[in-house]
Amino acid sequence: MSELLLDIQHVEICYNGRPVVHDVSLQMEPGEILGIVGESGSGKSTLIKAAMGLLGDSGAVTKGDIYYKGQNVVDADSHALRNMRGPAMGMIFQNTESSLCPIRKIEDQLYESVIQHEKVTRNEVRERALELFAHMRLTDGRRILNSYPFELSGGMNQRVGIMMAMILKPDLLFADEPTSALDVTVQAQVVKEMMKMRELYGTGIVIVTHNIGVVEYMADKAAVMHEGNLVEYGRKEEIILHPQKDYTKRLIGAVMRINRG
Amino acid sequence: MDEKITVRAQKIVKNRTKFKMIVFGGLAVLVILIASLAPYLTPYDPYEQDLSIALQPPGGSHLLGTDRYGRDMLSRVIIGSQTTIFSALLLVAVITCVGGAVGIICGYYGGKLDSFLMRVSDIFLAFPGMVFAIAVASVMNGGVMNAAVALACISWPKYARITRSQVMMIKHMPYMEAAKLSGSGTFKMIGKHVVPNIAGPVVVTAVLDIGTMIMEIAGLSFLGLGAAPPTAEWGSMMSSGRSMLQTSPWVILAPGCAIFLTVVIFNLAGDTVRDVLDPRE
Amino acid sequence: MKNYIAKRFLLLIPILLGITLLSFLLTNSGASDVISLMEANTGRVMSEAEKSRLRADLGLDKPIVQQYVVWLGKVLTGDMGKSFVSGKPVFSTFLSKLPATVYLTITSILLTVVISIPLGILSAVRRNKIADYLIRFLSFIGNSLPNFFVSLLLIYFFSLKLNLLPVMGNSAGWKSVILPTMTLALSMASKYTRQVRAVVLEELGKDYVQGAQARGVGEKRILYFSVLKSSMLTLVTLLALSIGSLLGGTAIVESIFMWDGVGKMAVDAITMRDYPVIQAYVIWMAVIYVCVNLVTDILYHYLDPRIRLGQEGA
Repeated sequence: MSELLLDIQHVEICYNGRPVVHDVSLQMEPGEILGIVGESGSGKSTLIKAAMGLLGDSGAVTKGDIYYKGQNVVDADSHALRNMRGPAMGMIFQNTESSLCPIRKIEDQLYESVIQHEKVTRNEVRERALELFAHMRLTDGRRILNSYPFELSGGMNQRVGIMMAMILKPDLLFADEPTSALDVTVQAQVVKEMMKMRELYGTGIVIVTHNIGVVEYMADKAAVMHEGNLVEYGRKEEIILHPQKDYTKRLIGAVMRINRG
Repeated sequence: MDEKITVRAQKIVKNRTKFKMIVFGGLAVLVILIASLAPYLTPYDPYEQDLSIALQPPGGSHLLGTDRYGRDMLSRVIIGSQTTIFSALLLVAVITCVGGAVGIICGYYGGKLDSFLMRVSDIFLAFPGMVFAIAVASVMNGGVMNAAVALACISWPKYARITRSQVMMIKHMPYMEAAKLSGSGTFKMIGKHVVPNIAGPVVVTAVLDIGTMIMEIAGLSFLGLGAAPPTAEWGSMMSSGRSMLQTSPWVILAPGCAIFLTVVIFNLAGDTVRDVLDPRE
Repeated sequence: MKNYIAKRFLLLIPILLGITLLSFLLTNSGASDVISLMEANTGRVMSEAEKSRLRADLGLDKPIVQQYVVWLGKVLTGDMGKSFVSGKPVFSTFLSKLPATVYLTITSILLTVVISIPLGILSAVRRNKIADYLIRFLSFIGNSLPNFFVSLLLIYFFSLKLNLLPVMGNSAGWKSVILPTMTLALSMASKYTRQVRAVVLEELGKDYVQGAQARGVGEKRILYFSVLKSSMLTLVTLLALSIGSLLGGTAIVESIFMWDGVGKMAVDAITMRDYPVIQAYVIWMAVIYVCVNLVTDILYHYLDPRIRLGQEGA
């Protein structure tokens, strides 16, 4: 049996004492794309933050475990977690610009994150970044690296986010609503670029979104969450074409209706 | 490392704040009471001189010792509280009202009046703190009331700014538009809607300023610009005791500690008021 | 950028006019007549006729606005009148005493920064732990002690009891500056530490901290390279604002320690009702403060890339 990339077992997460995620279990094989779909407040972002140990002081996993390739993430100490973030697990945020320090150049922040894990020179880091940009068909990578986050457009910032998350070639990539803040045309491009990363590097992707269309396009497996509960979970085709639960049906139906109208 | 702030813990924080409010608020009220009843609380006449017992160290019949004229220090500290504390309270009340009124006018009406009044307050703010107060107090030839006026001149802009920005924040709130539409008169609107909603930060600043004002009035008196002898005021008492720092330190320590303790109490009360009215976790 | 600097300098003019006008009105519509004061100070009794002639000579019988304009003209050429007490030109006296005050101001600011920034950061990073409570307690105490009380306490312990440092004057070299600096720095640091804590706490709560954590960047590195850099701008502005109360505090502290700067000059002038000196002091301290704020403001606009580059279009 091959080792699971991500194994979430009966996890309950509480914020300030109040449970926000109830008894969720999910499994991912290496190289899979899992789409977690739900409305705001469904707990989907909380779930992936827990998998990276980014819940902060007021949140905690109170029941269950999360395993990355057999390693328990919930019980890991901060040193172990830090070693995992970057080379093993990466994250793309909904708004990359706000996830970067506003008064430092992209290249400086990129270099800083790489040297925490590897001994490299600035040039090497720059080369790697330019290579990744090339895969995304961006030619003015040098200008982008030399800019401040506020100087770039939303779409450009998201590509920077992808590049920075992929630069250490993690096996697992979390994407927290990476396209929600973008224009529709740009959304499609960013989604394609993410899938290319899986193609090139075999990275498993967990994409959290409220847009079921993205899940339909990208994902192998799909999970539907509602108010902290896992409503439905299975292969994408099963969920989209043959939804079992009412909530899933309503979610799919709502999107279809808009598309036709 | 599961550190949870449970609902129960949040309740504890809330109760602790209530407890602090009662304790510190109570202490502040006690201080004001002492200041009000000061003449009845002094063990000796604070102005009675008796050179035969001058400069006695603390102890025995004179708990805090005597000063160079043989006056009982404890009595002088108690009576001094009246001048110091009431002038500070009055001062804070005045600048809150005056500054607040200016701020409300500016925020509400805006336009040229706003620009002009803000420029004026900028000019007052250009003078570093005590510098202007010292000048004003000296021109007016001293006295506690004049010192308070001097401090008022430089302190009102702060309140004008606070109230102005508060008013500008709520100016376009639905309930303001609703009140306007229902035909409420301007004064009624200000009284009923504006003031209660902007009061929070203003009250917090005012209570926290009481301590600062006490220190500044005492400071001006220390320089000779406030209370004049034989009025007992903590700052001027410290000034007259300066030369005896080495030989009879209690003459300075007693009023100094009185200032310190009073300011501490008002600052604690102010911090608690802030926790209640403007909590920012 | 250049436009902004030009605009700020232009705005400076009405403020400077306002400062001078206010100071002029303050001292020239004072309770005592200038002539009577001269009489009191020089001890010479003058007849009514003499007084009227002097008033006319000094232009005191003209309308106040005209007096102001005349006076402003003189000020702009460096003539700020003569001291009632010493008869010497006020402006040159002021300039001769200014370096001592500047020296004291600089040492106080340095000491404040050295104390406040590390303690403020520590307090923010170890929020609600023992270190935080201790630092907040100490700054609370510092905020509740008036600076004249602190001066006297320091003198009592260090000079009189322990005989380590001189009581007063600026003649003992670097030793004399220690106690006055400590006094000023104590009040300033008590306030500034709290401000540092607040700014750093706010930065720590921002999203980019979580972003850096997600990339596996260590806590210390996030703190010193990103958080601190972002905080610097606000901290510098807050420091500039604190300089205001510092400049005000020098009056009392210089006077207690007999530090021969402009603050002591002003306090001495107050006791002697030497109005021209007081007037010069008030005006110049305000001008200095305004300039410090202006420089800080421009610096802020230059250092923050969002503002510097944003205005030229991205």
